[in-house]
Amino acid sequence: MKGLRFLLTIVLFSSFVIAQSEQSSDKQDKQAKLELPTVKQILDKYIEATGGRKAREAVNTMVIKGKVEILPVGLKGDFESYSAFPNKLFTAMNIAGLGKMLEVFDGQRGWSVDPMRGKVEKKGMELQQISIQAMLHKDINLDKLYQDMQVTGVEKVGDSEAYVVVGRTSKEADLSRFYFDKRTGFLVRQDEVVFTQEGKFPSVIFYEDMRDVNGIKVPYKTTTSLADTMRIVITVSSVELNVEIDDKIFAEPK
Amino acid sequence: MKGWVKVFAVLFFPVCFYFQDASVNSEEVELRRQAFQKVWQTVNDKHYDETFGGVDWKRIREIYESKAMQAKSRSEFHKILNEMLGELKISHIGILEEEDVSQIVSRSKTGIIGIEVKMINAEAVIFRVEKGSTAEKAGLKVGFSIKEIDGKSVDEILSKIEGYVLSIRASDKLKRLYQERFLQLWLEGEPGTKVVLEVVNEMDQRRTYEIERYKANYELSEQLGNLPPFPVVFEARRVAEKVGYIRFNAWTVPQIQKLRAAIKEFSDTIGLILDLRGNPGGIAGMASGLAGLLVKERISLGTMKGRTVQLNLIAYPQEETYSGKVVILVDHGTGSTSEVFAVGLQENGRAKIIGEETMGAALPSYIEVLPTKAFFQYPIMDYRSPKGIFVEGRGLVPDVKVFQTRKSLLEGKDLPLEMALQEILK
Repeated sequence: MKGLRFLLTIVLFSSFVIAQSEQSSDKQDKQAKLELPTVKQILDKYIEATGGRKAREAVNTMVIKGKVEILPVGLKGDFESYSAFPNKLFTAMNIAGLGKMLEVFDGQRGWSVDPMRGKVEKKGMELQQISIQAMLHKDINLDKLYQDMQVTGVEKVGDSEAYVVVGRTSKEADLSRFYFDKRTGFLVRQDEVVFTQEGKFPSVIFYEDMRDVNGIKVPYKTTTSLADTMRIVITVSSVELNVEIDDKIFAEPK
Repeated sequence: MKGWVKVFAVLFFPVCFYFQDASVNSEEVELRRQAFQKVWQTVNDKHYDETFGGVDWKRIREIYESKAMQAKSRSEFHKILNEMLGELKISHIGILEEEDVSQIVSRSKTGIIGIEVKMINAEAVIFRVEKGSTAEKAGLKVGFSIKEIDGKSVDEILSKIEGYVLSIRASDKLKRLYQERFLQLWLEGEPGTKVVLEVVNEMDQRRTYEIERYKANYELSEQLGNLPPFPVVFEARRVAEKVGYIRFNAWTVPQIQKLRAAIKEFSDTIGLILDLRGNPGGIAGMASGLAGLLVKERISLGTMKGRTVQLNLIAYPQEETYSGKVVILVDHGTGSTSEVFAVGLQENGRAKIIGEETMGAALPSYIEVLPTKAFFQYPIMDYRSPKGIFVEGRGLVPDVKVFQTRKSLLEGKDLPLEMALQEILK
């Protein structure tokens, strides 16, 4: 779903700026480093908190549906996402007044489609990013997907404290920052630089409202904060696991 | 309605005000305080140029805040916000009131007589007469010069917007566009009513015409977030056996399907004329979409730069692309997305540009709703052409400069269009 948000903003000419973490400071970092857990401990706790590796690995397909709202420009629409193990993805946003926008990855090739620009095949870093984004089990394999992961400190996310883990998917990729809630273990925030053929865009995604779906925890609200320029809020209405998905949906869009 | 409010509402960087009493109670004061803060802070934090073009933005707040908070009405408050934003001397920034947005929508059903007016050498000249319109039936012709509308001279009518045009520091090109749109509005009214025009005809004789207005029935684009619906005009025809011609009034979503269909229809032609005269812009992503139908390889239409992000505007070739010559017609009313599209294809060598210098109003922008219910438009990035030219405030220089004259129109010639035809057929 991440890619679609950027597709939308490119079409609408938005600008993206990475949001400053709330109340972060060097002082906090230095204090926290004294008692920081390891990357493995943090990721293990996250996997456990979201249902455990066994339950997560048992998920072969996932269908998410919900609503999307783009602020402050006031766009609204429907959102749906179909994922299949290991790495197939189809996401669609149907925005009122704009039409349907797609992001598709068939396991090897990826495309974006929007009513104005038509179909565009993904290349280079953009293709690499969607190939990772499409991995259904990526959240339980972060240590394999990201290189040189390190715990850098503790920062506040909202009212809670979170461990900050950094890493990058390749030498060419920018550093990604993951924020895991100290208490619950959930991933609550993710900072990334997203590649598109139009340029690089820093993004900050907040994950909220974790709910149980057949034994695994799924965020029912994600807010992609593009600084104070734009926020894309997806509110999930339903999540289905291991339902049959017609493979045709992942084929190259016409 | 002949209020001059509407003229600004039909532009893409509308800045308008009207008189509306609003009691200034404590709730109203708070709403205005929030709205002022929102507007000033947004520019302070997001304006693409951190130097504000040399304007001391903090000082501007000191000048305008107390003035705005003392406004006697909400409309006056918005007018002062517009004055404050006008200090930046850029396009795509301003306040549009809620009522003005509803006027844009109601305009699709307004009564018209089926003519388009252009200011040519300070004369209000009929540029287009729709086939089958009441104006055509009454005998109005292209090239006639309008002198009076319902007993008021054109000069008197245009004097009503003079102060406003000065207050927003409009360029000559923009002033001309405002004048045209304003006269157009004076011609509109309730369907079934009549408008009396005094014109100078092809024999230089003054003649009076009484013409009934009929319902416009423009197609409306869908509301796109805070961007209101917009009347859609689209025309596609062959101006020669092997030359296609497409004209559309704004870059709105419904146009893209029509553009695709028309370009497919013209696939057997040797040239295509895209008439962007009077097209003030719209959804920027559409420029990439249309360009993608005209190029065989990926091209950049330019770059947009905000405070921390740079965006390359790319056109991706689509499966069925048009391979004939492309000529784009432009004039002073060609703005924003139209300029981005035209200069992008020009500098990539894909299109020849014919006509007059364009508006010079090319800044990607957002529209937000203020606590006072008004719509606030502000630019979020600048725009530079593929060769790095800053189009805002300058406009696009055509490859071939051709100015429309009344004489040529009276002779049935649309000079830029004829030049475009020659260019394709040579």
